This record gives sequence, structure tokens and C-alpha cells, in this order.
Amino acid sequence: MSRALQETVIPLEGDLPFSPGGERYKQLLDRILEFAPANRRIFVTSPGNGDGKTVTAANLALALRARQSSVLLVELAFERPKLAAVFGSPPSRLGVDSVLAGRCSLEKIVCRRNDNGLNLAMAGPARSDVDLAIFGKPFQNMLEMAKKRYDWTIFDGPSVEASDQVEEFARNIGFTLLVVRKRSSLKLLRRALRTLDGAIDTVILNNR
Amino acid sequence: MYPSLTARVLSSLRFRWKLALCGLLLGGTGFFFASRYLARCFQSSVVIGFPVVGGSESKAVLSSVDQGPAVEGLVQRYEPEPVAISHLGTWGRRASLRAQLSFEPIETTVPNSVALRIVAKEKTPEAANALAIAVGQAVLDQAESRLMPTHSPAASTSSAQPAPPPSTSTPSSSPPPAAAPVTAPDPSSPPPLRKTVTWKAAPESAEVAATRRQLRDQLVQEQDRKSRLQDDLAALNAMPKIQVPHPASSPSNEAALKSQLNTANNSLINLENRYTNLHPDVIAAKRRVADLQSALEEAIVKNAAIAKQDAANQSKVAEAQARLTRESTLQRQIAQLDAQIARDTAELDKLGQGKKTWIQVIHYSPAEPPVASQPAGSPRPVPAAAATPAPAPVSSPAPAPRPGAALQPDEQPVTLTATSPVPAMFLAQPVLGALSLLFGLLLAAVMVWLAELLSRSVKDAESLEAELPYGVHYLGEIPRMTP
Repeated sequence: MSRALQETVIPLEGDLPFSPGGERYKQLLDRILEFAPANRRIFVTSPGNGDGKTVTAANLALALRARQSSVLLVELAFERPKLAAVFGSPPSRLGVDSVLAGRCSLEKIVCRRNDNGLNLAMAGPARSDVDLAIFGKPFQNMLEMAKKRYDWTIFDGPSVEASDQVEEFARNIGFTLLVVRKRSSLKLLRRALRTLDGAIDTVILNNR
Repeated sequence: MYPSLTARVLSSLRFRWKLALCGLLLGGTGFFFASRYLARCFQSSVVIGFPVVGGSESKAVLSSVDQGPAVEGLVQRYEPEPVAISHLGTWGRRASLRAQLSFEPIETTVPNSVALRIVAKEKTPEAANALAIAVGQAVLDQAESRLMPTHSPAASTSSAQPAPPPSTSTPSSSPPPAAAPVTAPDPSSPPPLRKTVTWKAAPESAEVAATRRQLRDQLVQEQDRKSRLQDDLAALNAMPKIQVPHPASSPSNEAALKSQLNTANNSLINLENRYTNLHPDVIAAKRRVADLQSALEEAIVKNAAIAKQDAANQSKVAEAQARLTRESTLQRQIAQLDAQIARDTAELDKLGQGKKTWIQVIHYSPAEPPVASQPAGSPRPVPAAAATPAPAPVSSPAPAPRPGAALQPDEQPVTLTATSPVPAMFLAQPVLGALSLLFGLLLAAVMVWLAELLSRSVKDAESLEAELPYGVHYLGEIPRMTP
């Protein structure tokens, strides 16, 4: 199997009861729940690209789903969307960016997986022209809608290295989880901590 | 700190395997080639032959002359001598010698005899040769004392120093002088034997001898030819010199005179058509024509004389040129012969300086009665007969042994054969390879360790937690999962 293909295949064990990965994600979820995230929203980000945000967000969503909670996994990495590669392409071409632009509502882009019951709101095609205008009323409407319809909403955000809007996402969403990959650069970590000063709640180390 | 660092290095090999591989290859190959360069040395060997006396006694001696006692004997015996080991301390000297020396019993073609080969390695050919012969001498002395307990070196009289090597020998192949003590014999002991030690060059191989003979014949022929050529040249130089005459005066211009005469005749004809013969112009023209005719006749005569002179000179010039050509040819041939003679001489010298074998022959013969007037402990004068040692037939077969008897005078002598040193290595190739691999692994580990020490990355949970500001909680570590 080629390296590129290997990187697109993300191990999903968060809902498995007897796998080491599944057990570990359940333990992490317990720790997160101890902090009682506000509005039952978790924003996952990282200092650099490829640190494991998507795998962490997906596995936490699966762990929550294993507890019979309804979970919405929202993808906010507009420049490097990956959920479609993990869970398959959505039936609609519209994505979260369309919702934030006010072109459609959240219900129109959410699709549900029959195998694991996850509700997915994917980012749509990759684009780099996302600006701060997304933090307007449509964004607040999306947060309210997600809170109203689902028990938990997990946001798979962009990395601090790739986007300037991470801080805004973190402050708007609430509870922020920073995923740090083992052997990643200390310089990137310090930059992320400076950027998200006061907006980070928890940190996990991803030993990939 | 160190165990955790070691564990971190081992765990980081997964990420730094390229660096480790680079260190392994770089360190291994570098060490290998550097060691190969530094381990270059020269190897010299000596072979000691013993007659079989008293059944298996000689073999027992050989088996007892192992590395240790020989080295001990060498250290004790040659410590004050300026041999190659003098710069070492006692322990280090022994260890170094044990690494430099090897002992190997070998098969002999001489019946009823056994032999031991001693191989010594040193950085220079001279040192290797000196070490090999010194060790051989030590072993020889030890074996002598075991074979002939009643004629130990202390009791025997060393009557001769080793003969100086022939004038053709090189310093690297000349044996060192022996330093045997000379003491007065004990009257109560059995009649002492006189020990005669001589060195002789081993006969050359047939191939070398044939080459040397051919070169010598060639040299003689070339010298003869050169002397003949030199005689020819001397004879040529002794011949009277050829006087080449100066070239004659330049020939007169006959053609110009003829054309001037024609012109004068034409003008005379024109004048005669217009005037009478008494006209001054006609008279002048006739005079001019006559002058030109006489000048032309003189020129013709002069040119003929010059041509005759040139013909006579040409043969002398050709003769002189032939002599010059012959002289230069002789000189060139002599120069070529000189070069050829120099090449052949150098080749002959090289043949002489090549691998040469020296044989030390030790004879025992009944000693002369001790001089009563000489004080005990003082050195006894060397007998005159010892200065000319008896020739020893090294390659002749030994006489049949007499079981139980000690070595008797004029029996098959103990021989020590030394050969010129050859290039070798202190360490064998497989040992070098193993050491190189070890060094490569060590370097790889050090490189990974250094890279890990200097790395500015999130190495573990502790380093991550150290960076977190107050209020940010570390939840834990996600294990490695394979998709």
C-alpha cells in the first residue's frame, strides 16, 4: 500500500470496546467529560498539519456514539478537508462553507452513516478563500441548530499552521482540544499556544 | 538520566533509522579503511630446525616452546638491547610482542628433524627482521638448553660471533649480532663443547640464479660492445682532419656579357649602315664590341676553371660528411649501451636486494682445554679456529638418531633460517571487518543519541507538559494505532 493511501486511511477504533485504541479514546472522553464542555461542543485543533485532528475528532465522535449519544461531526478544515476520505463522499456538493455563507441550512448538508450512526457535516470541496465573514449570523445559527438537534457536536478544525481563523473558531465554539503529535516541532507548539492564548482547555499527545 | 536517554534513543530509532544507517555505513567503512591503512606492517619469519634426538624429546621441546616462554625469554634476554621492543614497558612489551608474534610447528623435508616457524610483524622491514631473528635466537637458546642440559649456553663457550653478511646483503636482511656470554668452564662438569655460530646466505632459487647469470652475461656482452664502439670512435678521431677548401670566387655572369655583346653588335650594325667605318661612333662601337668579346672569352675560361675546382672539392666534402655521420652514430650507440648497462646493473642490484635468506648454523665441537692461568670469570680469548667456522651442510639429510643420546658434536646442527620481510597486516581481514561493524554500530548509536539530545521537538508527555501554560490540562497520550 502506498504511503499516500496509508495516510488517508484513518484507524477508527473509538467505538470498539475491546481494542486498545477504543479503550484509550473512551478514557480520554471520560477525562473530557469531567470538564463538562460548554454547550456540549468540542473543537479539535492542532499546531501543525498532520498532527491527527481528524482521527481524534472521528474517534471521539465514535466513542460518544458508543454511549448512545447523538453526535454531529462538523468539518471546519476548509483548506484541507479529510472527512470525505474517511467516511466517503457526501451525496450533496454543498458543505459547511455553504452553510456559513448562508446559502443553505445545516439540515441540508448533514448526512448520517448507517453503520455507526454518526452524523457528518463535511466541508465541501477544498477552498482557500475563506475569510472572517464566516463568523457571522449563519455560523451562530449553525451552532444553535447543532445544539438543538444533537447531544454533542465535535468540530474538526484546521491547524494553527494552516489557518488564521483557529482562534476565532476556538473562542466561538467553546471547549478546545489541542492535539499534539509526538516528535512535532516545539516551535510550532509554542506558536499555537501563543495564538490560542487562553482559548485552549485540554491537550492530548498523539503517538502516531 | 542515562537509562531514560538510552530508552529514548532506542525508541527514536524508528524515526531516525536513516541517520543510524548513515552512521553505520560511514563509521564502518571509515574505520575499515583507516584501520587497513594503519595496520599495514611488514612480516618477517624465521624457521628453526632441530634434529630428533632422544626419541620424542625434540618434539616435546618444540611443544613446550610456546609463545609465552619465548616471549619471556626474549624480554629477559634482550631488554637492554636496542631492538624494536625497547620502548615498551614490561607488561606492555609482553602484550605487544604476543600480538606481534606467532609460532607454528611446520613439516620438514629433512628426515628425523622437526621445525618451528616464528612470524614477527613490525612497522618497518628492519624492525620486523630484527624482531624475528631476536625471537628466533631466544627460542633457539631455550631449545638448546632443553636439548643439551649439560651444555647449556652458560657452560658452553661461544667462540665466534656471527659472520658478517656478504657485501651484497642489505641492512634489512643482515642478522643481528648475538650476545652470548663467555665464561670459564666448570672442571667438574663434562667436557664442554665449543659452540660455533655462523651465518650463511642460503642458495638462491634456480630461477633467480638463472636470471642473475643471464643478466651478468648480458652485461659482459654489452661492456664488450661498448669498448669496441669506443675504440672505433677513438680511431675515427685519430684520423687526420679533412681540409675542406673555401668555395672559389663567384663565377662571372656569362649570360649578361653575351646579351651586352649582342646589343653592341646590333648598335654597330646600325651605325655601319648609316656611317662609314671612319666615323668615330663606329670606331667606338667596334672597340666596345671587341672589349666585350674579350671579356666574354675570359669569363668562359674562368667559369670552366671554377667548375673544375668545385668538382674537386665535392668529393672532400662528401668524405667529411660521412666521417661526421659515422662519429655521431657511434656516439649514439655508446649512449644507448650506457643506458642499457645502467638498467641491467639496476636490475642486478634489485635482484641482489630482493628476498634473501640467511641461515644461522650452529656447530658443537670439542673445546680446547681451558687455560689454567686465566682467572675465573674473565673472558676467555676466542680461539683462532673459531674464526673460520666449519661449513654446515644445511640441506643434507641428518644422520640416523640414536635414541636416548644427547646431541653430539658434528651431528646435524640446529639451524635458524631468516627470510626478508614482506608486507602484511597487524590484524586479519575478518577481525577488521568485525571491528568496523562494531565501530559503525557505535557511531550510529552516538549519532542518534546526539540527534535526540539536540532535537527541538515534543519528545514525550513530560516535554509537552513543560510547555503548557497554567490552566491547560494534559489529558493523556493516544497510543500508536495501525490502520
